[in-house]
Amino acid sequence: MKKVLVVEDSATTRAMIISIVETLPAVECTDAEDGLAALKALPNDRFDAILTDINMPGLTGLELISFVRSHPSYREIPIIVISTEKAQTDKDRGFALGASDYVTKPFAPMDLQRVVRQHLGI
Amino acid sequence: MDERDLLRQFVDEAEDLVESLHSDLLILSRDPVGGLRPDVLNRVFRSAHSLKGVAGMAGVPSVQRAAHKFEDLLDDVRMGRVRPGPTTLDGCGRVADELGRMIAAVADGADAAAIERDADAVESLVAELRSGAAGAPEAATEAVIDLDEKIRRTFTEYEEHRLQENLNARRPVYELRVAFDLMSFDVGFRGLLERLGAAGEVIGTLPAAGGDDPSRIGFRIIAATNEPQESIDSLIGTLGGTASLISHYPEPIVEPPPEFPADGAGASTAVSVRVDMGAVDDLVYLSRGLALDVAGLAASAEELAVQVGMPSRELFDLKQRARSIERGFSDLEERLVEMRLVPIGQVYGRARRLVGRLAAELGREVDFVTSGEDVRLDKAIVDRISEPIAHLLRNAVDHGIESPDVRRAAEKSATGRIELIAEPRGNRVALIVRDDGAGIDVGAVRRAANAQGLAADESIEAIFAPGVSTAGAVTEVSGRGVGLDAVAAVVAALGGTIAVETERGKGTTFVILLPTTLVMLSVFLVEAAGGLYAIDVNQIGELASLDATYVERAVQATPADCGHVVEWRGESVRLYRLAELVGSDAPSKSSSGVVQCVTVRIWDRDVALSVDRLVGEREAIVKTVGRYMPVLKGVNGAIDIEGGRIALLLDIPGLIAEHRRLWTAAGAGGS
Repeated sequence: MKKVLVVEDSATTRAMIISIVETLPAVECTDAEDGLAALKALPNDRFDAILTDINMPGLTGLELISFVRSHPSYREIPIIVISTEKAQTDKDRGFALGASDYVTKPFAPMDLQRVVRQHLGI
Repeated sequence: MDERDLLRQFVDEAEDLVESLHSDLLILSRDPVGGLRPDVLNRVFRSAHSLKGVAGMAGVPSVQRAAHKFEDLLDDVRMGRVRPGPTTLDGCGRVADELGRMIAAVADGADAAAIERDADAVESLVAELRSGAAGAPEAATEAVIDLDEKIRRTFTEYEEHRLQENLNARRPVYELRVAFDLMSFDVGFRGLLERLGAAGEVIGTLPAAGGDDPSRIGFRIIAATNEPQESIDSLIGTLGGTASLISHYPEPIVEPPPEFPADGAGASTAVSVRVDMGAVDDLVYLSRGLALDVAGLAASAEELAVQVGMPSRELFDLKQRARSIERGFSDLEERLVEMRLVPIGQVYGRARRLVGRLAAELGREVDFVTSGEDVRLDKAIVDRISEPIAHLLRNAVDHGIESPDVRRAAEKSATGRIELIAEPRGNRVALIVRDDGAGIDVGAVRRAANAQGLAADESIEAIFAPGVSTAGAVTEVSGRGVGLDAVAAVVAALGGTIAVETERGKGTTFVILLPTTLVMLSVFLVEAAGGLYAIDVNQIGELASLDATYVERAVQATPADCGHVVEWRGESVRLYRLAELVGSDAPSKSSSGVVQCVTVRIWDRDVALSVDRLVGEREAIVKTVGRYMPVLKGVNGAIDIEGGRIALLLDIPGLIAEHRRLWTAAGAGGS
């Protein structure tokens, strides 16, 4: 079973991402409503990938990426940023901080599944 | 995910987002045009941004397009590229209204082309707002900032902009380092962010592994604040963290001249600070405590002065001086209490949206008229009265205002009228909800009350009694009974009263009379079962003395659950022993052969409370008890009395309801 952490503050978008990702065989998602909730979730499981929004209250996606990449236990986890087309600068910063991939909202379910499969190696 | 589920979830979330757009815009509307609070402005942006995102995901292109245009504008405003003018916020409110209507239309499955036209309308509204706003002023800073590149790289464009703005304003910027326990960090961390936000602005936060301790998580927080460094040090020090100043400004800081709007030549320099309501209350309590101490001190001094034979002139001076200090304290109290007051207009926006939406849903045509938005009430009252008001308005649209056809047939104008009015009445405030609809069938209410075993009464006010609102009665009174007991209970718990007038075919008027504040109150003190109790004087009808033997007989003759029946001025009145209501089985003291009573008006009737002693009236400062003890049913607060005693402030309807509940529960358990 592959574990994916989905970090997104919109409940609808979060539910949608999870329902798309969980249609992949043997993939299970944990949800976090913002960056702080993600920090709380990380020690509870061994995650195989993180999908995160950037623009979130409290702790942004960029701050989350920086934390994960600097943490000895999490630094290898692939991080896929899911954000809108608008945030080009923030997208570049995400890559500079070590994001693994990028999906633009709104996305086709197939595109998200393809990117996630690639990083999970399934 | 099922498509219908998805749509429902979208509508739910979108409605929430529009609601927060409205409330945040309302908050911003209290800021000066040039000084919109950046955190609130950012929330407004985020709401529009999230709305666009969720509409895109749910496949609602019209809302996505409209929200996108709005988001672009708000982004330019928050990033300082566009400077808002005096009408910008108003316009944003109109956009939010429009978005709300679009979402309602989506929920109703309205014609997609029509919703697209609404999106066009939003687009042109936003374009109009842009043209009305000004470009951004040039700003430059010579500040030097000592910021770790590692942190700076994690800044979003917006965070970078906020840093720059704070440097331009020459605000001191700090880097705070603090670590929390990994399992429970979020509570402490969110609390810290809130404190820092209230004292200034949190620009960025970077978490880091807790070094050698894997059970901890560290944070580096970049925050700007004008608070003295000592208070930042002590705030972070209590959490075991450190703060260092990382901004440096080359010249000594010169206060920039205050900016006035162009037309406000020499206008007042309104400076305000945000203060926690609890802190204000503490000051009120403190002031009252000091006033009581002074009164005690003055009494002792007077006693002493008489004992040592002080000349009457000096004695007079002494009393005068003590009185002047007491007056000083009561002025202080009054001003502090005024700080708790907010305009009732805060709830009007929600009321207007509610009426508009419900009228559209139900096919009613309604003119919604409000007045008295400047009338001020205790914030705690405004917060709690908003739901009852919403309830009365829903009833007015749903069951009051008839459909246009019915109205025309009754020779009324097709458009109904609903009014929401606030007006001061002495030291109280009246909130009036009036409709010109069908009115309530009084006979049906009476039949429903009878069916519930309540005393038959001509009065329509039986509609507020608990129990009249059950399903059987609903259809007959066309739903009007639903939840009115809940409305009445909230009003009573706030120390208010509610009354209704109705005429078939003409309409219905509800009048809620509320105290201005919950903190300062005129109370009447009574003694029962050895304890001291306070009752809001506005609820008291009269003070009465009844013959003790007569009362004793009545008590023996009738069960206690609904009060003992006594005759008072030719009418049957329910009498409760206060000692019994507060759960004491001490026998009543009636040495003089009479029982002292106060009558209190509840809904449509008076009830009498027998007490051991009538003490007298006081101007009281009410402390909340909920903070220290579990909430007591029927108790609204505690009052410090001279001599170090405490009186509990009673919510009589709540107390009686609780008494009945316990009685019934005990009866059910016993049999």
